[in-house]
Amino acid sequence: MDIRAYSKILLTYIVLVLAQIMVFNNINISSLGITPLFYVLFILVVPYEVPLWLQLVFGFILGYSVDIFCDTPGLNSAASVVTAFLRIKVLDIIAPRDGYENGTHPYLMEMGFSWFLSYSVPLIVVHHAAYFMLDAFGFENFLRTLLKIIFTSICTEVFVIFAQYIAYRK
Amino acid sequence: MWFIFGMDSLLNFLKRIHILLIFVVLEAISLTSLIGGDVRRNSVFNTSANYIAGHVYDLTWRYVGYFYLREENASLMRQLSKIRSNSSSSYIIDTARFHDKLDTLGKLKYRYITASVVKNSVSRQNNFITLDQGSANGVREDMAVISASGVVGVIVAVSEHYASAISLLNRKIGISAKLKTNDFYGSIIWLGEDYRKAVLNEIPNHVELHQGDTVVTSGYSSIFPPGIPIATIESFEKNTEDNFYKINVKLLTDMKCVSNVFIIENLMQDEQLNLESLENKFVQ
Repeated sequence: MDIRAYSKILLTYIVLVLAQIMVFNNINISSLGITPLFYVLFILVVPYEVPLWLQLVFGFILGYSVDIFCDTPGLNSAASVVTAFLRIKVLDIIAPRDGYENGTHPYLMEMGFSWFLSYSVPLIVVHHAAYFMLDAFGFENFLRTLLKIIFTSICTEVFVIFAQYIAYRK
Repeated sequence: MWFIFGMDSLLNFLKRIHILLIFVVLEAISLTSLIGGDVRRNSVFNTSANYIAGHVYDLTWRYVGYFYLREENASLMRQLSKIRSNSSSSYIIDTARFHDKLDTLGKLKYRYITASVVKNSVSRQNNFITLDQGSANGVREDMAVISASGVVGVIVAVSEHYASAISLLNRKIGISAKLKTNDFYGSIIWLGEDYRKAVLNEIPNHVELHQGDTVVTSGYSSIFPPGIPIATIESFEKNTEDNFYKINVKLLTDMKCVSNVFIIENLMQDEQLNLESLENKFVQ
């Protein structure tokens, strides 16, 4: 991990936070109020070589930046830290037999479509579940929260896959 | 020797669980700021009324705002036609008697400040709105926010050039409301579901209701002037348990595309609040 890799992470972070607050927060589909939480893509594309503790801190900084813009202190950061923590476990579970090769990234184009789905779907669902359950703060209206989790996850997943095709094509 | 050995194994232990430890610490920070998220306490610093966020949203709104112009224009035209039809040019003088104008007899109680929405949300349980007028333009906390079609929210935090308002779509506020037809009062509460719907509580069972009745602000709080439309009754049923109606209402302001609002200053708010605080003396 050199300075170039870290400046690329910084750039990704800035672009994704701005995209979330300037574009995606203005999207609002159906009366359910579905707003894709696209910024979660940042957690997905952090390189394998970044120290694990730093991955968690990145998740926290990411979530808290979005929180500042959305007037939701702690909501996005709580969900993001859970996701960053879970990513470590998920990467462990689906790792190739010899571990991840140096210089590869967790991108759709490099790892393949089915690998990327089995990697991103659980992370996005957990992120959204944490987000909406903390937002609703309890189990009243649980069916509605559940619907929001499912449909927003699908929406985010679609945008994440599109973004992979656009930004990381070879 | 034992303590060196102990220290060593402690360090080893910490090394093994340091990821979990960092996770717990970060999560604790997030959750405490989420749960301790009192609307007023972390105003200005944590809300988007802060400087950078305000500017970013200003920039966004400059472009996104165009998408809402059609609805906004229609609503302004309706408002304008209402004002035109009430203005003096729409009346003919049919008497030779001299009339005093209201503004020389009356005393100004409410003052209006126009503002634009720079940030809005409807998809969360506790929604807020950021406006582009701040303390430099005379905006203070506890001022009412309305649109051309009805109630929008209440200012909770103010920075120099921006103000943060708690939206009607926020489970932490209820707005004192009454029925336009017969003045029975209750409160409008959003249940965190559809952004177009809310409920009206505390209307007793014996009142006669009709679908489509208008619900307006009661004027009992020191924030909203009386008679500002909030919602219309969509459906209602009698609740036999506590003798109050269960009323579903449809909000008049489309909170999803609200972009220009009025901030209302009650010039007699302090006087009213000071007087009301004296009531506590008689309770004790």
